[in-house]
Amino acid sequence: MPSNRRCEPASEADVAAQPAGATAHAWSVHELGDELIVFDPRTDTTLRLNRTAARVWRLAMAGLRPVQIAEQMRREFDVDDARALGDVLTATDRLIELQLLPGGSQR
Amino acid sequence: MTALNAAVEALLVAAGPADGTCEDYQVGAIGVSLRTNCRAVRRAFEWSYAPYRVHQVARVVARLEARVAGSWWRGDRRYELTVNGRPGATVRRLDHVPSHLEWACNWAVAFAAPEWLQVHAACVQIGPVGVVLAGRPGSGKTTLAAVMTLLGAAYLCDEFALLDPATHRLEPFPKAMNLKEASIAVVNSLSSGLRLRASRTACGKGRVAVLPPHRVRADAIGRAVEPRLVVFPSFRPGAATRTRSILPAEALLRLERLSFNFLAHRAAGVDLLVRVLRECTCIELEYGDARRAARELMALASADGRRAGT
Repeated sequence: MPSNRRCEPASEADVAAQPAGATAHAWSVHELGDELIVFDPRTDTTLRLNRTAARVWRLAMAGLRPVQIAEQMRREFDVDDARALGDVLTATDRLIELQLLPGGSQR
Repeated sequence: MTALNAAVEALLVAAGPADGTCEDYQVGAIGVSLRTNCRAVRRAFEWSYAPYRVHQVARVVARLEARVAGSWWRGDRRYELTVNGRPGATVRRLDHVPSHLEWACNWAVAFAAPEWLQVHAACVQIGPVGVVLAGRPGSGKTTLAAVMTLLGAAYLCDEFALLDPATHRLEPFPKAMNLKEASIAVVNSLSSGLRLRASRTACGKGRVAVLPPHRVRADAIGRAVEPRLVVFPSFRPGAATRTRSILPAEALLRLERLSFNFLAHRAAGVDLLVRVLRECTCIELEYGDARRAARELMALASADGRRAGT
């Protein structure tokens, strides 16, 4: 997802929030530079989210729908609506696949 | 046994076996004990580890035993090695024993010291800056660590970065460096006094020269230090020295892959690496000339140390 503008960093509290409908398990989430490191204790897997994916994930965790996330991303990253929504849907699909978001947050 | 056999055996015993006493060595953070009934084994071990000998270590991580058995006369002379009470190896040649003991020691650290997050890396210290040279075998970690030590760095280890979860510091384990043949000329070119030569066969490394840090200079052994520069070296013959900054998140995933005991730490290990890497400069280094690369790293670390001091 192209952008040369910095995202607003989310607070640790934002990062730790669970989205509505999420299965209850504790990811360990850390901000590292502009990126996020997510450790899934169920699978002992460590994932790295680049800054765009990290922003999508934070907003989804805060309960925003993809359309709302796209709107936010459009404002922050100065991209057009269609591209923002496409990128957000791609990112959320991948995050759901990785079980970092519950399936219900897709739409 | 004939009288002649008995006389030869007695001669060999006088030249070789010791009384089976146990000596302790505090090798940085790692307590080692060696029990042996062979004076030659003790001498070879002490050539590298004599400065670390202590009356008693607080905690033995590597309990090594090298027992000479069999008879030279009968042709079944052998050295039976155990580590932490488990059978290690049976070695036929005396000159192979020291490197087997060092590998036994590495094995013991990997399995008996879970309190540290262990990463496959060489580490040196330049002033207040801990430098981690992380990589797989053949990436040039030991060569860079040796050259940097010769250029004035303090040496911590050539195999393990031992990260303390409580202090976020690198703990020293200043075992002797094992330098492969290609690295020996580089090291000798920097010091006329060392005159290293390949004198041992090391497990998986072929012929190696052994370089204990105290033989470089008396103050060449480092102390616990915060890591500030994380380097992922790769040696390529003839390559120009080239560095590339990498993001700390990428460095974290690489360090995790190079960790010996990540699964003993899991989420706490990730947390530790995050906290450490927030304070670090992370780079990839490709090099063909170890002297030039080492000088570049020394300059980077010194600049980082000056920044930290201001």
